[in-house]
Amino acid sequence: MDIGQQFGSFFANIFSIISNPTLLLVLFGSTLMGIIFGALPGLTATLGVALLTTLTYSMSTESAMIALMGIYVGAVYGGSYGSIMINIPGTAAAAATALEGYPMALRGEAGKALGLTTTSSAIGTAIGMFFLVIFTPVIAALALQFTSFEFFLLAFFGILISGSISCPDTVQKGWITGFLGLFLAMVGRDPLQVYPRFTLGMMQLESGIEVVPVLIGAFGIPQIIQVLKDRQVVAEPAKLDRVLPSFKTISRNIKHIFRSALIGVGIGAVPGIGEDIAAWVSYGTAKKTSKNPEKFGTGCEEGIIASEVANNACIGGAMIPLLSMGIPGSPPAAMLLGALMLHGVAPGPMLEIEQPGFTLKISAILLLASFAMWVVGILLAKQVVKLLRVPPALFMPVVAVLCLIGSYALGLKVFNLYLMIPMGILTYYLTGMGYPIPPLVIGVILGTMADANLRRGLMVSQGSLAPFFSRPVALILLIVIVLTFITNMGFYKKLMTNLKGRLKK
Amino acid sequence: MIDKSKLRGADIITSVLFFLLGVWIISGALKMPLRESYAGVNSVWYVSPALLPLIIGGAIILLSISIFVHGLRNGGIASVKAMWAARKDIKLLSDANIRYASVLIPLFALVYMNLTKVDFFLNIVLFLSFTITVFHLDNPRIFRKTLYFYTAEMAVLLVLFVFGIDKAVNGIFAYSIDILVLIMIVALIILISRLIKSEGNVDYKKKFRQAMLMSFITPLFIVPIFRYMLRIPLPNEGGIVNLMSMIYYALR
Amino acid sequence: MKKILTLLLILAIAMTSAFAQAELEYPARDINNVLVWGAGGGTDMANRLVMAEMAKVLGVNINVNNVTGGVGGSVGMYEGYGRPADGYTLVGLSESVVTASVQGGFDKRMNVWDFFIIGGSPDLISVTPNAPFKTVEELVTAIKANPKSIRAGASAAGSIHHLNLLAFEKGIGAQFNFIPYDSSAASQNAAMTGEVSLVITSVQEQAELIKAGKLRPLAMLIPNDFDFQGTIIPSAFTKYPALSQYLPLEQQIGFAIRKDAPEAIKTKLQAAFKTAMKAEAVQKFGKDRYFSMKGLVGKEANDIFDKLESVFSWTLWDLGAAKINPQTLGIPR
Repeated sequence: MDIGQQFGSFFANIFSIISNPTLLLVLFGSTLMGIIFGALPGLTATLGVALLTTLTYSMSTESAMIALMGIYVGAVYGGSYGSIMINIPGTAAAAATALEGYPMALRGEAGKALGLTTTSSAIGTAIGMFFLVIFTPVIAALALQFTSFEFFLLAFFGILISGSISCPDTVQKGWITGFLGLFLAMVGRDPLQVYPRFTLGMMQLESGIEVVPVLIGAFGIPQIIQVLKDRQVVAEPAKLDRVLPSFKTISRNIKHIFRSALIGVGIGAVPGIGEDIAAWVSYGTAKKTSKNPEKFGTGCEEGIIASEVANNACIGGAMIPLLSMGIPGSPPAAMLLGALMLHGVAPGPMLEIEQPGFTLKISAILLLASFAMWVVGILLAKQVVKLLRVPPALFMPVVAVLCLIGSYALGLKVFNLYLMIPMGILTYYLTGMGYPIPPLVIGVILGTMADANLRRGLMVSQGSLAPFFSRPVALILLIVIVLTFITNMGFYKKLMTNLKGRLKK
Repeated sequence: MIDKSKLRGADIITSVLFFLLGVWIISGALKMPLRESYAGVNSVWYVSPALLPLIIGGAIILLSISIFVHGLRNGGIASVKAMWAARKDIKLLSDANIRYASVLIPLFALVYMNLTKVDFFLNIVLFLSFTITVFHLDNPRIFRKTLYFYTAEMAVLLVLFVFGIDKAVNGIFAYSIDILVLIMIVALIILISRLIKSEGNVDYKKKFRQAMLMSFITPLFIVPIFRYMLRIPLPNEGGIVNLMSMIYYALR
Repeated sequence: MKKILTLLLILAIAMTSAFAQAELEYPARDINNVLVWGAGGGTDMANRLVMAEMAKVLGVNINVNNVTGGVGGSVGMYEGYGRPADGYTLVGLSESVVTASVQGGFDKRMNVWDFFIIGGSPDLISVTPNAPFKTVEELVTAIKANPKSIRAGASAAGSIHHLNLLAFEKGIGAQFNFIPYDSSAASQNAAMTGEVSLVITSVQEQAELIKAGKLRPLAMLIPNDFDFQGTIIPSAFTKYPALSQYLPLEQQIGFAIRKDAPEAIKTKLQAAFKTAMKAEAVQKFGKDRYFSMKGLVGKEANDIFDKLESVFSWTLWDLGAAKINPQTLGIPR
């Protein structure tokens, strides 16, 4: 197919969906459901796609795909509601958004923040789709450069990023919570030799500590305690400002949008890691490359744009290896793989030969889903902001119940709740003593990946470190890491201020 | 965040705890297979499951020392001494602690005790009707009395569960515990409404009504959505949830 | 205030009446399938499909919930075993759960279950297209000449594919450099990136890659040749008869019910299962995914799991990767 033909069939796909009222209803319904799913603490995009897989079993392949992509896009975006309104991220992917969105809401600009996340997410999804249509072969080839060494370096980079997240007190505190997170990730059977580590003889710990109880424990419980016990204000009831961001806001941040989208698509395309890491890496990079990094953490638009564009662009990225190689790029994409197979579609290198035009169909659905998400999101944001007028004592206990059932719903494990409460109390005190919590969550997310891939890489190279330097992608990652490290160092900062001072003279 | 003067003292304490954690991690890691092969994988040092735990433990020890030293140099010891001296001024049942207990006790009772033993619907009503009401009314006297009463109720349940009496009574008459909890909810509501009457604040009545509405409507939405729409079995399906299921199957 | 109290009273009365309801004929309400592996995997898909067909026969919904974790799916098995043996709880599982007991995850043997086997996809050895081996003999000659020179990827230690690799090594008397991965998909991905040159996974998992020429199938690890879309993949047994001592170790996807459930309920489920297995959608699924469909129940199914339990348990014990001696559990060698 040449480009013109592709273009035609792409729009034919879009038209056939929007001209069918049933499909349109499925599209908007599932997107709304996804947003609610994402907004509720503990319910993730992965769980949403998994639950919907059963419900869409009897549907046609097309409507099932619309429903599943709708819930995927909606849930990745919906996590930002909790982040902005009550500082409890609905999903791990929206945790970085909380760092900027919540301070904004405290200023009474919850509406502005929601409008910004909605638009950023829609743009992110659309750019991700664009990459899926145009660059699939290139990106798929690039993703194949990722062996254990690159995976390890990527995980290491993510961990390093946590060091650049603003720390309320001394820098060591950020590092130590990061290592605490890594330690929590070590608990359980090790991924290579299934040797039990730090399980304290508890069967429930053998499979390790899951991200959801840590996330809700670390962000949800302390916030609930603070609001109820310490009478902390939740957020200013919003001023009646416009929700829709102005065109100027977007054009001003066009650079951030493109960089974040690239990061999102790239991380999405790398098998096995997903939206949460995309958001953190993009946020960290935005801060590192910003001219005024001190603005970050006080509710700046760049931060929100960076994390929200990246986590939604990740969806398109994750579809690339899924459709072209049958390898899911993110955890929700792994669920999607199962759902596709139930409908008799076998993603992989043969997909375009056996079912021509399927990738285009998915792209069309993705574009429509991002549009539906934007429409529903903008309409919803106006109403949701009004919720802030409800006294916190009335809804915080309800949020607590939602946190509990949400974390339980993933795998029906009461044990996760047992873990979540102590986790919450611990982080409540750590926060009080000036320890930043985001590094801990990043540590838990990336710990296993760093561990398994470092050891596997060394196993493959028989203990040699040479591949770090001889493999091109590894070398690039290594250079980025070293640069990040150096710019973090005190002596570098001194050197730079010295230099700048001298230049001014 | 607590203020800087106390912070250094707190740092001294937390850094010692982190140091101990680091030591424990390393001692745990040393017990793992370091060089011998395990599970069909030929082991060398770099393959050992202890590799990363050793690095993590070491890093935590180093960082904790650095935090400790930083605390020492910035008046940490004086601050710890001040905290120790101030310990007598802390009252166990101060208003602030009562507030804290009103968050934690219901949370602990719900998660560690009732969740698997009491009907999920009733559990939520019990949790919400206490928590929402006390924090929404925000009156120190009502706070205190209601918390004492609630804690006493939970103590009764704890005794029942610890001695396994719940299984015995549930064996004689199914849902006995659920009915007991229902009675407890009613008792709690009666107590609060009496307290409100004696206070004579008109605003409280309205707030109480809001709190009750919230406590009952929440599970009325959550239970059907999770149980019948998302088809997630609840941690305990007792009297009320089974009743809802009966209605659901009859209507379907 | 009064309204609330009246409401509570009504609830109390209704609750006692709920208790008084008569036992209805099985199945009176929805059945739950506690699935011990994650959503989206082979066990998950096969179970969801068969459950949907069985639901049609039984006239109630069968909800599949993934309860993962522990070792060898032990958390899910405990969850399923902890519920009443009333036929309303099934446990979706596959062959690998038999390792739970010796690894200290599950304190009972597999004989507490009655199994229903849907089927499974057989394992095979494949190499990357740029590898110099065209046949299994060339591979064996090369590895014998130069032990541990070839990197072989499979899912983590103790998994079915790892055990197949071990059995193959024993059968040919040579050792590969085993690189463990988190999942079959990850090991195949590593073959694509060139990190390993040989993978052992099932036909189903490799199918798309073989079709696209990204993997070259060398030999089946079952006694018979396999017809893969007109191409015959030879059995490794033909050239290396010694393999039959250790193989085949086949994937067995299915589900189980507590053995102490009433016989009448089991019979009903078995009948529904057999009907479901004949359903067009299930048959098509099996064909598309290169399953050998079994549809076994009762003693036949239980015997297969007994054998798997014995092989897995003792292999892990011999490798030093088992916590509990299979002998103390009473597992025959």
